[in-house]
Amino acid sequence: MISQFFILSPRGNRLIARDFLHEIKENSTEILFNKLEEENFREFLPAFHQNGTNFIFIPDSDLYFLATSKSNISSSFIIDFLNRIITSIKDFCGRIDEDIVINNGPLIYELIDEIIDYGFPQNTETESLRKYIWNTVVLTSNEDKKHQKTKRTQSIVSRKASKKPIPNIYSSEKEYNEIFFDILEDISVSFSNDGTLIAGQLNGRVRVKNFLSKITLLTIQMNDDLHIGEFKNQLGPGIHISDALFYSKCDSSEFESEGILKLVPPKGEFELMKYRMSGNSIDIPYRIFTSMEEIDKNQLEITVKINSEYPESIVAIPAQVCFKIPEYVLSVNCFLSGNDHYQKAKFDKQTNQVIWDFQRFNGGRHETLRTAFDESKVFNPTRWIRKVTKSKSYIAWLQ
Amino acid sequence: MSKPDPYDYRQLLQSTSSNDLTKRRDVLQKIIGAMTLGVDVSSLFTDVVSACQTTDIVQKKMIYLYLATYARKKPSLSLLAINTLHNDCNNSDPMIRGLALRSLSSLQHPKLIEYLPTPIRAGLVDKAAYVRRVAVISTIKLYKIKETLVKGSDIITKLYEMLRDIDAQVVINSIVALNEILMDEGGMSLNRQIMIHLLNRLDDFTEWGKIIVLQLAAKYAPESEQECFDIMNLLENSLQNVNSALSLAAAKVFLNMTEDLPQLKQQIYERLKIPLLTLSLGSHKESSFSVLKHIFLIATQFPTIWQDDFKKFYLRMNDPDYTKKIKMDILSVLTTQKNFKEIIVELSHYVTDPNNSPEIAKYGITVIGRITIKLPLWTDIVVVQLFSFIELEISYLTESVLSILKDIIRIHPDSAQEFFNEFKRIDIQTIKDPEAKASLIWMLGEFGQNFLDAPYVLEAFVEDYKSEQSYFVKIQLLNALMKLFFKRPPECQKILGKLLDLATNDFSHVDVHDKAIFYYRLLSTDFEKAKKIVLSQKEELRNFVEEDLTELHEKLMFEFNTLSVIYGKPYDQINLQKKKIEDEYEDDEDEDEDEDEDEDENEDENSNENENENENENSNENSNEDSSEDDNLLQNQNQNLNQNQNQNQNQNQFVSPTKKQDLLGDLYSEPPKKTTQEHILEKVAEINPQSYQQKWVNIQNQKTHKFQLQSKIQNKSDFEKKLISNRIFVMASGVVGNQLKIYTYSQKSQTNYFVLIEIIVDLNQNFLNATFKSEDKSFLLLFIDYFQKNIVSN
Repeated sequence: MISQFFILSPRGNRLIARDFLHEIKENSTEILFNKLEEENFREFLPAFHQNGTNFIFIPDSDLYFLATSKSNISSSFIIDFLNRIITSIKDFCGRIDEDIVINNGPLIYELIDEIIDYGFPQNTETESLRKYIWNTVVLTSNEDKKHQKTKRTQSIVSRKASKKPIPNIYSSEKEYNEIFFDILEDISVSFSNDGTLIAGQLNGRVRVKNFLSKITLLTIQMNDDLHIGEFKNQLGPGIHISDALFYSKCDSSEFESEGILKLVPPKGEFELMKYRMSGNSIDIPYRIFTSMEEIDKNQLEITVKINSEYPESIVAIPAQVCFKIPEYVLSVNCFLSGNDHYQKAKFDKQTNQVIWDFQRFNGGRHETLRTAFDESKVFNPTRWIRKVTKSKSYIAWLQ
Repeated sequence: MSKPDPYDYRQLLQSTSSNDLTKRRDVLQKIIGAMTLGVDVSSLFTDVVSACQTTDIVQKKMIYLYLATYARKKPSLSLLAINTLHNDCNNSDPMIRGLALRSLSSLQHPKLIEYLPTPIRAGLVDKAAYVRRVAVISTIKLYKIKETLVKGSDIITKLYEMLRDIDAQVVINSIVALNEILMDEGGMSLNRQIMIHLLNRLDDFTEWGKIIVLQLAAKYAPESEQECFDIMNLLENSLQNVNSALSLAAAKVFLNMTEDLPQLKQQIYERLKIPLLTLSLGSHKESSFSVLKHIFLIATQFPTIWQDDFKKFYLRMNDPDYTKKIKMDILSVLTTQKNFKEIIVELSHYVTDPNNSPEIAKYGITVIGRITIKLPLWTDIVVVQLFSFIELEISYLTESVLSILKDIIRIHPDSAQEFFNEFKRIDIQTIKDPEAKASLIWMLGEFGQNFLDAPYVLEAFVEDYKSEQSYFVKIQLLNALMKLFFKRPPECQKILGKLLDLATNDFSHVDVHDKAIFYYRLLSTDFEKAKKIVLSQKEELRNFVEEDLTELHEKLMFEFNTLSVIYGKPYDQINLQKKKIEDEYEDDEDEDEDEDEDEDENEDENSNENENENENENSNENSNEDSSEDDNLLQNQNQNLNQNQNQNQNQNQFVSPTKKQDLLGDLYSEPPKKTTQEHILEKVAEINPQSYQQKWVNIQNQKTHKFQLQSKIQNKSDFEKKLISNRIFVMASGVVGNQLKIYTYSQKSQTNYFVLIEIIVDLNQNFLNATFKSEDKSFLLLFIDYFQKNIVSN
């Protein structure tokens, strides 16, 4: 199973090191770090094999989480397990970064020793871990402490509210009786230049962070107009989800018929649900139209138009549009249609990109950017502009 | 950070009172911190162990952690801790009992073994589940120190009993322990009763526990078809899970259960289709990647499952490169006649998208090539697309196109001419990648008969021979020039002579050297037979052996949901590299020779696979075979061929054809060109190529001049006409990239002295570089003056 576990700083220092099986002689962390250096710290394969040892690692919050093994284990198992360890540390420490790990070494070792025994996964559920954890979290910045003490009003909850540690049961800290649901969606869309959808994909997840002090049965009722399954034909009204996957201890038997989920939520953070929407079932938040025109022999003009399909009440803060310009172009003139101080467009020669920034982008608005540049070299621009709209997360609080 | 000194910690530890909890914890935390960083603090062992008797659990845990790390280094000192640990194993608090047992059993040293069995046995029947969990895992540790203490003992029976423990984690740990201890027998033995019992309790286990039960289920052979369905119904929920490891473990059970029920396979794959798709698009990159690798593997077996969903595998802007690659791999498997054009267009966007790294752009081209070989009906469209990449004049794209073109052209030879039409756009100087070079050289050798410049392009490679690092390029160069020589002897003869000279004297790689000798002997033995051998007709190609990875993928299906799928190789092939290294460096005993042999076989397969892209030529010309033939040839004919060379030979047993170029030269000689004129030069000069070459090598009097041309050279043949009209005759010429290269000769009037010039014109900069050589040194300056007046300035 897992032979060693490490947490490494961005500079390769070992912040946490636990050798369970004592079977790997080489210095695993150095091997990983050399590999990272070889690849210039670009993202590379999360698993590799060297001299009989398998290295599986995950970069997260500027740290590296590494597990090594001598056996041909399931890659997904180790990857998901490492992710679970990260979540557990976040549960007990509120968040995770280099300072937190340095200051909470004993706590994290306590956790690791309960989660893994001799390389075999044990308990990873926050609630049952709590009684085995004796150390209390040491928070570093004043901000965190202040944040813990401030009383929050009912209506406004800061994003940090869910990033607080779960106290161990021996602590005198008062428990908050609240539960957070984050609905996080990533949209990937590609448009053709006339704004029609080539491919669209929405991946959503419902992340729950549970601070409820009592064990409660939770019933979650979805919208009535929720439909599940791959739809080939014309879609009717409502929300159409292609597929949904659930937390392992969640009763989803009534989900398809009634849209009901039942569970006793475990303490701390867990992923309740993953879902996927595709093609026409996605409400595209922004549509992008592009055109390219040769003004004269050497002048090329690219126009980008963005329409927000949101109602006016929804504002994006901030938003950014970028596209690449051929490397030999020295300067680009940008003309904005709107003349407000919320947006600006500029050409960044270093990255050869035109960057169009919005401090805020109101729902229902249409904005256009026209750019012109010298195109003295013969070049056949097949389609080197790619329009990828990536949403930021949408957060909704339920209390 | 300055290196902490263990001595300071000792002082700190001794100076803090054991009653001052905060301070003591703080010191211990510092020691653990140093230990983590890799500082050796084992010298503090005695001090830390003596602090063990504290009742503060936070301190205890840190001390146990310290013990677990250093006990194997200090076995005799560990005895000091044993007493405390033993006492703690009998503590009234189950948590202390558990912790103590865990630490005690991790002091894995043979010297300490006698202290272990008793507390472990007690732990197995402890009333607290926490202690039982720890005790079960401790049996593995005990087994690892001394097998006989566990194997065949009552502990095994006890562990089987504990599969019915009320605590779910104890059950899981028992499975894990039995699997480890009984590994030689294939792990825990399994019957229907145990299997059903475990599956019925599935909901009690954590997701990791479930995975372990599912791994057992994957090994289980149901007694009836009905049982098979029952189990699959039980696992339905696990498949639909946010945890990808659990989904894949369930998938593996489904796949194994239906191993012998082919009629169900399709249905099973349909069940896997949607959950795997959702997991593959999740937000954790690493998780998604692992699932994508499995989708790829399944798709190689049943491409129809995701064929309608191919767009879901289009790249996202923020995908890491490794995800982009596997997605393109999946696209290549999902390509059908119906979606072919759409996928090629999409892949082409990846190639030209400046947001993608060069690696991804290149990979896009590779995948386009792979698809084209798979569905050769559409080659025309693809070739046009590939040429459009060359037009972008980005060297790494050109290199990738070259690398895949050879494979396409082998299946679709008509594309060769189209390629040579595009050739002028390629700047040979920028091609650095050995595979691209080799591919280009191969094409020139194979199809160069219809491409005017072919010999001169190859000549440029011969000129750069000495700086060429890749033996593979050199071998391709030998092959290509041999082929082209028989197709276009006059132009290639000299170049081939030079190459054979270089390669036979090249000892950097034995294959290059041997191949050169082989060709040389082949030519000198029987010209017509050599021609027959070199230009032998090839069979029409439909499939490449190396593209046929079916067997590999079938093997990998047996290792579904393991790291092998990520590595794309069966694990015995991966792990063997390590064994080999050990054999070499650690000089292990040769216990298992049989095994070694098997490994070697595997390794061959493995290396073939690695190099398959480089070794495309294998089917036609196996360089190893050539070398062995070569040896025979050498042995048989060494004597008579060496006759006039014997005095030149030192210890070197191979024959170098350096001085024997006339042998080649006699094979063909070019008819002289005739023109009329008069002046300081003879109006007619005659020299055959091999004596030209001889002169070029032998003449010592030479001058090199650089001229700026007055007017641009528009046309090669016009320039040559101008030379000829001035009695400077052209021996050979060619354009490579921006360079025009011409070899000329002239004869000094009334004498037998020649003037030879190597002219290199930089067509962009309008520079003319000329190297003049003449047997008559005094005539050289006069001639250069003449050249400047009539050729450069005029």
